[in-house]
Amino acid sequence: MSDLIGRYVEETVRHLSLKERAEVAKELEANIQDMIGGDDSEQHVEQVLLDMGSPSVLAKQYRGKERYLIGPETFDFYWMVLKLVCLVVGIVTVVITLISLFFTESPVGIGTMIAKPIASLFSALSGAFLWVTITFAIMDYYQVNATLESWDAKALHDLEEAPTRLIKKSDSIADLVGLSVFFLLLAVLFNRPELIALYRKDAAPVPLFIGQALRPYVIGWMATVILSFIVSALKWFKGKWTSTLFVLSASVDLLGIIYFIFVATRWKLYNPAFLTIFPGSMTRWQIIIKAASVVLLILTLIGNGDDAYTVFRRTRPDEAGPARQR
Amino acid sequence: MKEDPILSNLITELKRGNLTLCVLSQLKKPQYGYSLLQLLADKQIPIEANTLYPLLRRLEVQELLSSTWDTSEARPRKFYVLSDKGTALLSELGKAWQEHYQRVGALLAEEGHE
Repeated sequence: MSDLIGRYVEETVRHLSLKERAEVAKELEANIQDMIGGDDSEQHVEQVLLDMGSPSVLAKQYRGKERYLIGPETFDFYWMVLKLVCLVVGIVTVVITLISLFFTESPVGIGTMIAKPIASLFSALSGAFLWVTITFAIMDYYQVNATLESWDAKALHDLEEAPTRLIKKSDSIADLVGLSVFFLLLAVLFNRPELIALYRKDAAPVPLFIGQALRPYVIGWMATVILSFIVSALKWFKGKWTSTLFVLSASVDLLGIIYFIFVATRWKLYNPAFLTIFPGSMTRWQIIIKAASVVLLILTLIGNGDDAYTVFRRTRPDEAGPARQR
Repeated sequence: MKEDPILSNLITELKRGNLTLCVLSQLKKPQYGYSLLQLLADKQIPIEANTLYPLLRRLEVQELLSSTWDTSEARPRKFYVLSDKGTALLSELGKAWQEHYQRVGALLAEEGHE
């Protein structure tokens, strides 16, 4: 029956480090023999081994610690880095793919325009995930200490920053996603301006824009979106309002809306055939655009005002010194 | 009646916290795995074999125990005994346990008066 014991011991030490194996195996076997005593009937041996529990659980006890790919101490830090890397890699990949699509010789269809960025995004994110995870797994294996932050008096006081000045990560991410989508739409607009059109059952679609004239403006527009994107990424990264960040944020917002109004009021860009069908005449269209511009400008100013209130309201008392007022 | 799983969990945890202390206390004289298991069981401190053997091994790695193989018998046995480091640690740990036990006792007594 010693064969059963031998296999049990072998299976247990298999999970241990090489240098421990021989010693643990010898000892474990001796202990089991002691427990079995004189009665080495198959039934008794089975019972003793069943009571010892499964070899892998026993091996875990011998190791004295759990095994992790990414341990609980490092996990928060890993997760933060993973999100950041994926975000940056994702954005860069999509932007580069789209830019490369514009400069291809042959015209690109709308399908490719959507499918290609998604495909390259997927492969880039898989790669980012792989490398971040491998790096952290290796760090964990060699017990490199990578805790998220030190906990000391300075860290404690940092916590006391006025909570209203924090920028919600979810807001920044929503901004980043929204801007990416908008950028994508602009890319489509640049490539196929005729897609924005009035579609009718029994006639050819009537495009809103005169494509060739619109293109240079779209490029400028994309530039403003990229600027907004950079500022939003900065907001995500900092997570906290500063005066400089507010000025940057307000500037790109205003730049964006002013550029929009500038483009929307280039009346030569519109297709007269479209306007005669929809609002009726160019004059009516001009009224609609001007009204919309005023509304958008007001909304932007309200948004900036709200940010300004958040940024500057609490700043003064915080700088008063150690006697903080809450 | 079925045993309350929360209670039995907590009791297990309570005992597990004192396990090392119990084991160290019984190793002033050399013992091998199975003899220690029986010794503890006789003193109403039952401990699972699959917990004790790995624990002994870990305490040896931590240099709290020293070991020798006795090959004079028919079956070889590995005997463990407290090292100097282990002896010193046992006395400190024992003191800490006494102190803690008294404080917990005081807490429980306090509740009893109400």
